[in-house]
Amino acid sequence: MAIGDLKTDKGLKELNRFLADRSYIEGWQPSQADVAVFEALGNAALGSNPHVQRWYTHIKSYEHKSLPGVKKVPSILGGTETAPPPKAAKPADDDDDVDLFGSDEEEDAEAAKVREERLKAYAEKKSKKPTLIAKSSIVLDVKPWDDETDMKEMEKHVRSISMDGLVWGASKLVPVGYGINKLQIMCVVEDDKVSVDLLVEEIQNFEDFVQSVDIAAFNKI
Amino acid sequence: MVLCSVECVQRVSQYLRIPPGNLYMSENNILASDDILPNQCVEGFSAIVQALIMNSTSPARHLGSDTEKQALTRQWLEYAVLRINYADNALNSKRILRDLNDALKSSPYITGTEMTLADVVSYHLLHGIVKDLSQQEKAQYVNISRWFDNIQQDDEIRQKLQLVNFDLLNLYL
Repeated sequence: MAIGDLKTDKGLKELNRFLADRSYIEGWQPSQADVAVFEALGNAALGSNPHVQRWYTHIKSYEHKSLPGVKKVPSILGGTETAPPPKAAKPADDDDDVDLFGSDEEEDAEAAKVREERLKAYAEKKSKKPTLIAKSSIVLDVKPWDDETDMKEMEKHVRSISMDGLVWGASKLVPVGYGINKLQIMCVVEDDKVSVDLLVEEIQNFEDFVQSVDIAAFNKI
Repeated sequence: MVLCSVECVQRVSQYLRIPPGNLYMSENNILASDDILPNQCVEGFSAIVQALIMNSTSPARHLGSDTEKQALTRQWLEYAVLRINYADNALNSKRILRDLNDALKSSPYITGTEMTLADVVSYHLLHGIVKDLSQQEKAQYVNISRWFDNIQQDDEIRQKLQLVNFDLLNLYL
């Protein structure tokens, strides 16, 4: 089981589910895996996730450095690689010791390279994921010139406009006064593909029928 | 039948590695032990368990690190005697499971963030009930299941008791 980005609501929900029947992230006692997730959470608002809240207060009660285990991104967060070794934490006099790991720096460079590659692969994978398509539901008011305008014909013309990502919905005639009706028509557009201004302009191009077009309602779905 | 029996004290004393003394049921049907405290007869389940803790190598670990936690642990030991003790009847067990499930909602252990003997005692008392729960019930009392699963992983606590299976729990949540 892998958990998504903990900064999102969805990630938190998944963590909540994960912790429902577990006291700790890994195993049966607090470990560095808990600390890693704890730090990944940062100061995020926990919302109404009782299991995360319980776990969070519990882990907070520990001295983090004293917990057993190796600090790494736990498998539930999708990480397998170890975090950068805590070199800075080492006392400085370590440097005077015999250098048993002569190739240390080289290895570091290699590890960095591997890490970079993984990051790249991850970013690629992420970019391929289908992103949520942003859509909007729009209600348009189309006003005719006078009471003699053929509303049926007008609607036919409006509906004849076709664009990629545009879907026409229901329509109705709403009386304005003096026997004049306006056409109220619904449509759903994909924000990325359809420009609403362009759509309005297109409708106004039917000059024989249309006096003006207003946007009566505009809702993001 | 009650659950706070001689057998339960024996198991707790085995966990603490302290001899339970001479355990018997006194005339009033109260659990008693002769040899825990010198020249004194300790009566009552909770009192015996607390005497065992005091005799153990690290009372603070089993009772709680500060006085507040110790008081909480003692309260839960009383709860064990007064309530969990009678959990072998279906009606009582439902109520106790519900209570405990609520208590364990916001903390991993009964008394908070530290495991105390209240957890060990409750585990031993509830083992017979939890092991017979259906998967649906385990999911219903998910906080108990999580707590129980965590406690039973310690071999010293579990001793010869059967490991209860919670593997499929998340399918029912």
